[in-house]
Amino acid sequence: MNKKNSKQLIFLSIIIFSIGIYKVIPSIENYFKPTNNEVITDGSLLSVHYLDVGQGDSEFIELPNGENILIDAGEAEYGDTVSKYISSLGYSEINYLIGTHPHADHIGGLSTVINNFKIDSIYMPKAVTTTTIYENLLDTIANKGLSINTGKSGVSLIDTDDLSVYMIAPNSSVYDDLNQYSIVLMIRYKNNKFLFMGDAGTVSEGEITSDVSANVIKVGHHGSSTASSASFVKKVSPEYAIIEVGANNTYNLPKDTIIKRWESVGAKVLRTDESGNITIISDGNNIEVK
Amino acid sequence: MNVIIDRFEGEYAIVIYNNKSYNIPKILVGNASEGDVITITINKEETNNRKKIIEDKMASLFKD
Repeated sequence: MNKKNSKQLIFLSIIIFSIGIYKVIPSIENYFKPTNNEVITDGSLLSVHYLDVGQGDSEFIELPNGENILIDAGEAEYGDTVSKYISSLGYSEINYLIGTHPHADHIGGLSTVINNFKIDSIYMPKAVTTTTIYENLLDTIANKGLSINTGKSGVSLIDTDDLSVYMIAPNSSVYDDLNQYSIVLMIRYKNNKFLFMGDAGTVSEGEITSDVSANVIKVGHHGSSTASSASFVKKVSPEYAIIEVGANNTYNLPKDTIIKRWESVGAKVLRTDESGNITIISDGNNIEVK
Repeated sequence: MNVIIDRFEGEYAIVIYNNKSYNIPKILVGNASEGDVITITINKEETNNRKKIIEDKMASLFKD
């Protein structure tokens, strides 16, 4: 290659590179333009509270952007317990209220919570059941003039550089078993990920295509052997596996085989029947059990 | 009286009555599904039939 050709090549490269930059700029501008979901994470903490609601599930999450999420609220009799816990943290408003699936041990307490707080948005799967518990919840939502967003795989609540909150299940629209309709939620704060399974079982686990690796998992279905398949457990490989379960429950949950399965991938298993409320905090890079 | 099956856990069906959950052995609700309404009724006629059968057996066994 002679000197003249070489100069032309450099010139051409600069032009092509500039065109490349020019094409990228609009999307960069778009990216930094504030949207409704845009948040500033000024080094604050993500706090995840796994609440002891006996034989049932409830998690309250304080996001680093100042917003919060409530996932489930145990049986109806635990509505007050959950409400008091959230109030004690200084909140009068819930930004995202999620009912994972319409079983009483998950949605029972939500009616009381909805009556006690200002609710910004509600997410539930489109699963029908006939119980008075579910009917009460629908009536409570209607009486407050609220509506329900369908929770399913692909729904994103927050999507920013540092913080994203999104659903990775359910992936089908019809199941035989209500547990499989469970909304499965992933929260990523910088380099830390928290996964919430509801009661999703092996059927739903097998349908999830997105990355499920996480630092902390709320184990599916109270540590029952209907969830936590060996291949799924390996894919998640968390540092902590949280099981929400009632002390001396009739159903002998969690199952020993499931506890051992999570431990076999290096997870430390924590249980609400043994520890009561469990809080885990993250600064985006490190997690700590309070 | 109606109760509604909320879910199944192991050998139990969990039914809702008056917004509270109760365990009943799964075997008592046959092949029912989640969401099925189960009607529990007092069957006086059958109660009296049973009473008569037992009283007859007792009458042939008791000495006095």
